[in-house]
Amino acid sequence: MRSRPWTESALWKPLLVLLFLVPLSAVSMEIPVQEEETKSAKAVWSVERVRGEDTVQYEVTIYQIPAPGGHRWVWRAVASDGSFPGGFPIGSMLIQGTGKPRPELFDPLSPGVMEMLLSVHGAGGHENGLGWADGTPVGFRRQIPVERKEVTAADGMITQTGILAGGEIVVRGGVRTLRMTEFTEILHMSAGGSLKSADWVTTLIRGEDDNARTEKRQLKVQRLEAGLIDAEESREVQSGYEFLAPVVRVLRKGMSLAAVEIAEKMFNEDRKDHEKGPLGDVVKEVAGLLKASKKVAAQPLDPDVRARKMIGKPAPAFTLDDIDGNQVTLEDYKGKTLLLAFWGYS
Amino acid sequence: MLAINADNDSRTRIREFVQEKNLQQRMLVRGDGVGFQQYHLKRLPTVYFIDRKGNVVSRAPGYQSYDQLEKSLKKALGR
Repeated sequence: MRSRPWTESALWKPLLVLLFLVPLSAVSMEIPVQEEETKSAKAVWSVERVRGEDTVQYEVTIYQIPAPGGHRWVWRAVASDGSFPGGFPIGSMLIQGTGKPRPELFDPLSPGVMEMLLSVHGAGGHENGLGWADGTPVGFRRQIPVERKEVTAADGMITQTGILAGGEIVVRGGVRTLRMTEFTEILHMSAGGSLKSADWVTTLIRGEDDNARTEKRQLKVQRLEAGLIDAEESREVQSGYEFLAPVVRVLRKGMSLAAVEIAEKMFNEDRKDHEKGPLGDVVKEVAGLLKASKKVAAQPLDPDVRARKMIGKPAPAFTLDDIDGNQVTLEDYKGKTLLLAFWGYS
Repeated sequence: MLAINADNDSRTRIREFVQEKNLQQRMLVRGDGVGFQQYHLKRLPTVYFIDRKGNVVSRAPGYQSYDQLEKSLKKALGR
């Protein structure tokens, strides 16, 4: 949060100093009121996201910690194949007061994780009858007209469903038409109204008549655990996040070798303090990313210069999936002359 | 010949392209990491020629004419 552009204006600086002082005074003087106001919590969700033929599964741990003007969600997400959705093992977003999250304050990380976080934040609290649902879970940041129903089961669990009103809406007209023919939101909540699981499904039709093709999108989230955390753990998450954020920022922007080395120096000085904390896993993962990033930054900047060194040397080994999901490695083509054509659709 | 999609296009979109152009070669997906990190791509498309021993013979960035490709291929085949 410190490097965001609006903080650079002089107007904010006195305020920032204040903001950092508040938590400190709360700790040293033990003002009970402060402790009560700042609820810190942790939740773990499993997420499945479908876009046409591509399915991603991941688990996301969200910490809610106090932050200026509201609270901050610090999340870490790990996909089922061990990779990080969004490319980095940690991210955060600021939630202002009780309102909706402010997109302009997000770290621009994985859209998949963001959709999940926004969905969880926005779900529930709807009334029966005609209403609106948030299209964010299926990749539309707009409201979608739905017909709502609410059913309370014998055990007190509430099931809210919202089904696309009118049967079909045109999302985008013109030459490349996009129609939504199905949108369903199913929310399962406890008697107290806390979201336990949710499922959003949409069917889209692109183009018209002969060229029309159908795409299914789905986001399924399930809460695995949730609970309050004590002030001690909350502080550890806070300091861990503040320690990691600038380093991840350097990694994300792919900075020069000098910048990576400075970040690494800072990182190594303090990493011992955070390795045993709640974000300890992230610290280890970031250490690995720093190492890899340093290796990349040490190479010549121009890919052509790097590529020239490859000529006459063995081709780098790789394993990739083909379009039908079969694994293909360079080894498979040993003894054959091979043409590798890298291409992109744009 | 292997075609590697290095632009992280969706499978649906790639399938469409394959159908539209009636492509016969094997199509690999999600090759952006391999392409840009291991194979140092600067732009797309880029073609690499690899000989029987598995060594990189040449690299052809950008759109190539048929003649250019044939010349590079002959070199890779050792003719």
